[in-house]
Amino acid sequence: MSILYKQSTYEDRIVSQSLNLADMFLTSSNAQYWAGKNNHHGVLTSFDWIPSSGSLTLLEANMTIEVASQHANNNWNSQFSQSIGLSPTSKKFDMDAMATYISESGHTSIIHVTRNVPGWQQQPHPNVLTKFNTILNNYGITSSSKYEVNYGQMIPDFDVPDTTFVLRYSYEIGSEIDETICTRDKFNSLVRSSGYSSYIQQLSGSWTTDFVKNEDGVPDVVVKKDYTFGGEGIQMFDVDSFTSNFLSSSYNYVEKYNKPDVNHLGDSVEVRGVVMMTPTKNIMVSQVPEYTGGDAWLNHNHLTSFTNEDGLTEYTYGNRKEYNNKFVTLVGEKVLSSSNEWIDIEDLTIGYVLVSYDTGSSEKGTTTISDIDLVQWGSDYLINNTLKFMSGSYVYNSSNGSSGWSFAQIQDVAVGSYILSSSLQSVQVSSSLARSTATANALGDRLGWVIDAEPSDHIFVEGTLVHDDK
Amino acid sequence: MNHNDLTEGSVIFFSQDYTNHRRDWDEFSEVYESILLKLKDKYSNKNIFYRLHPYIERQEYKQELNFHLDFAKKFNLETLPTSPLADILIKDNSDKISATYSIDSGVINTSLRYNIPSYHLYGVFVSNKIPHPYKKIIDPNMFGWEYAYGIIEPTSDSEKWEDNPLIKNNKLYLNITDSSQVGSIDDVSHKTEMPSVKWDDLKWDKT
Repeated sequence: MSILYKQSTYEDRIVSQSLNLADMFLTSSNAQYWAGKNNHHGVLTSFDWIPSSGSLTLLEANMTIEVASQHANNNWNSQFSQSIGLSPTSKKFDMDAMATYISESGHTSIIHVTRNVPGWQQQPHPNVLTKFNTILNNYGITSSSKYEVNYGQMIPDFDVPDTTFVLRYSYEIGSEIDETICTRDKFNSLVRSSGYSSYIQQLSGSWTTDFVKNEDGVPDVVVKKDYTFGGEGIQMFDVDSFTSNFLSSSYNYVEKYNKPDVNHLGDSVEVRGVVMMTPTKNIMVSQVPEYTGGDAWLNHNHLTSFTNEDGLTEYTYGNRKEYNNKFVTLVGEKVLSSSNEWIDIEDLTIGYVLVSYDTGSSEKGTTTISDIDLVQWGSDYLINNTLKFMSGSYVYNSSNGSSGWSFAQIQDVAVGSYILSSSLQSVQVSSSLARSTATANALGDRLGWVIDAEPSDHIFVEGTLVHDDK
Repeated sequence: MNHNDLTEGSVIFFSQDYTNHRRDWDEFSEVYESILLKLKDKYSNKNIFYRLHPYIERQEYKQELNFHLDFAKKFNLETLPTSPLADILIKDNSDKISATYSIDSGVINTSLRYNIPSYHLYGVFVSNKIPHPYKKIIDPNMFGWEYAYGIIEPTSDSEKWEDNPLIKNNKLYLNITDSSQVGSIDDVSHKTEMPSVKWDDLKWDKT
């Protein structure tokens, strides 16, 4: 039985626990973390929490956090916000709090140190920077500039006046803060030595004999390696005497698995405690769960157990939800709205009206999003070197571009055949490259959304007519 | 072998996660192995470590991990574990590492920051007309991050790898085009100048 997440149960603790962890890095707590930086620097950090039957434990901490286009607005899905008791005026991302601190600490200009790696989502999303600069201007920070950090690139020193605040959104090589937060053992040691052991559920001592198991079909423990790449360093197991002995001797970090609370759709909830850290004060930026349909990667309802080669009962989260026959719109892609604008998928919510297409009458119409769900994608097909469609997705296809149109799975779309554009023109498929998770972009764009639209399932994504659910 | 056990003068070869995926490219494998052979020859009196890439601990990369372990065994190289991340490994052992070899621009940047002779391996592949192993793209200019994933073409004003302040005129950097260059900058004396940026250096077209 899963518990429905309620914001009132956790909000105060999300704030206090996130700030407690951030405060470990204040110069007054330990000067090493901001060494080489003056007080005119800041960095965005996220402490990710798992709410579970009233307890709130740390999943992980991250630098270079995702700040998506949706964070530039406060458009909440009403079903979601009402079900979890979230105020409609709750801020997804409190730019006013950030601007207040930056202004009150004597700054009139700002440099945004952003992450911009070709092929990956920019962090933060350009829409966020536009909105943030508007807000900053209201607080007297009237000049802004940007320094983009590419993959593996060093961040330079900024020789600027003390009235300029340098806010970093990107990982910094050589930073003690980044190295500590991104190295699980190092970070957990700091958490424990700072008196916050209760935030992490590490098993120690006699856990191999006194362990209390979860019900069948639900993992008992989580093994976390020193680092993670989007959860890649995490494995889940059932416990028996053999397993516990094996795990405790093989891994230096084993946690009890807590079933996350769920949202109104039954999907697990994870809450980011986003903090703007500075050498002298930490500012809470976000403490609310985001409506994404739920992040399924830790959701026991979508885990599958198997016996691994060591003879342990392990759970795979790689499959996540079964979306073999649904169209997945990937992060950064755009969908055609009824106002004839291409809208970022991240900005769509239930109730949004899209352009549809009637394959019988060959007429465009409208259709409304009835559900939208976040998933993680695996393999895909790169069409004409630009269009990415997840394996299994259906697109409108014709062998000659003039007749015989039908929805075909992307793996069956032949080079030389045609797909249909939003201007109802035939577009020839000149190339189709099958990519696995190993050869597709591994990190930046692995998230996607499944849309259910009614009454028509035919929508336009990235300029192409697709079927959302076939 | 633990990264804390590195000894002075250690040479580190940073392996890549996609190496085994490209085993079907004979030419790639030949070059990859030829570099290792040259390293063994050049540094016969030093500790050479084969550092495993973090990605290969992912479950779906089990085969990749086995490949790298077998590969290191074949060349009688000690492996360094996937953790800590490369930048932390280099920083924590900067006084013990005498040279790094990597195809990864991030590793090269970090290595240069700590004044370690840094051999970039893109050049070997390019000069042998072997496509970039990640995306199978052939481009003679593809030495750094600007084409990192081969999907987005750089624009005319994109910063070029060779103009990166850390790279430009840095005597500790060598883009290898021939395996005979292995070890050739080991004795160079140079201190990497960390770049500094002023407000007027920044450009941002917000329109």
